[in-house]
Amino acid sequence: MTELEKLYEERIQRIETTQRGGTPDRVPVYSLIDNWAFSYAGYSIEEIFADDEKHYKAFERVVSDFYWDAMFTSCTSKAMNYVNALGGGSYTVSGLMQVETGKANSMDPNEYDDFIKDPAAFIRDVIAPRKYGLFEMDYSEEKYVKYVKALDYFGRFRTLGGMSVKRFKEEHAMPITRGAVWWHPIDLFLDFIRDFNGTVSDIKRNPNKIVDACEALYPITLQVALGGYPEHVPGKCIFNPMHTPQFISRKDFEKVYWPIYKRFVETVAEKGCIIQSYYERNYEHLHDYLQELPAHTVFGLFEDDDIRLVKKNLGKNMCIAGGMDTYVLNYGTKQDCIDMAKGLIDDLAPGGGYIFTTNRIPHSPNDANAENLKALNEFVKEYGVYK
Amino acid sequence: MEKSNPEKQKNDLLLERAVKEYYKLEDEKAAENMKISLIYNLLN
Repeated sequence: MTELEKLYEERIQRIETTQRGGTPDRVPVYSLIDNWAFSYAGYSIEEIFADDEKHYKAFERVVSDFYWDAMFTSCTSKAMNYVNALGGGSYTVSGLMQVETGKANSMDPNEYDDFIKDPAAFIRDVIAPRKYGLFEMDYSEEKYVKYVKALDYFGRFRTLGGMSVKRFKEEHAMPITRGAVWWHPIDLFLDFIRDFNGTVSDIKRNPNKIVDACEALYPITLQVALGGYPEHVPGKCIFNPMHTPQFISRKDFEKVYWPIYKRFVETVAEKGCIIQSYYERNYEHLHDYLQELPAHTVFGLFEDDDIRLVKKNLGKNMCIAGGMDTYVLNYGTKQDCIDMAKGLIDDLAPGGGYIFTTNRIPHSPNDANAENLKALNEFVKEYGVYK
Repeated sequence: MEKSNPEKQKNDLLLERAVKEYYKLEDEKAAENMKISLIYNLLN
């Protein structure tokens, strides 16, 4: 085994032990860096979508310039060239890549029955023509050629992702934890089908319809998430961004979100896999629900929760990650960052199951000061050793 | 919201053809899975 292979295995073991709730040799230092990589490397987001080599190099600089035990991704999350070639979508790329308010709504509230009857056909025949110029066109050879061009872009994006994972492993001994991605159907409604206003309004006015629509869409999300990731791979997990719960009450959560979420986590547990749930904003009012999830199956990323309270309430049944405030990371001094990290390790590392990372995914240039990040990660690597 | 026109747009045929000619999937199950994946990837 080469030194790099040995290092890679050590890192896999460290992250695997911790995401299962165990105590590793030291607290893993985990990168949640996403589009921040581009500004750090000196590229605009437009540049990296025009040049795969720059896209790769930006993340490679993050791998090689800072200490990490594992990273959440090896490239950005959206195949924007594919989406642009389809002629539409909810995202805009202008300095940042963001969902544009109002653009996601592509279904009327009185169309739920049609959606429920056949969600795949409804997405293909009703939603897609509203979203994309290409799918609105009458069928022709030109339409097919344009679609194939879009699929070429999609294929290139997937290839870039696969190639980055392989090279980061072989050249930098760096594990990338993402094995698959699962979206709760209601988060798909929020982000891509009914938009924020429509989804929140439907939850209040017509909860049974949105529940039925989510049930109809669930098998598709299951197939897409697990079809290419049928069994657990040590060090990997199924990334699950959670967008809707932060905006709804406990009562609504219990009715429209919890049943499918719990069912998916139980499916993941049965398969021996790990789900990495990104609990956006604050879940304190939902901790009692999360206590019911199968033990040692969730790698929970927390944003605005009091992470010490999370440890107290959920530390026995899930791995907890987060705590390093990106505001301090960007605007504080090195000592501020180190003091915060020391407190987190002192309070959260005992008993294992804690992964050190930021409380948000760094996207914009102001999400992390590079010098602070460098000093911080070196500190955690040394200070986070279990003795 | 605008009504679509599936008879003229023939998006079912578009996907069917992409699966057979672009991805060259002959196996029925694999082709069906790919079609579902292509549809899912229209949620952007």
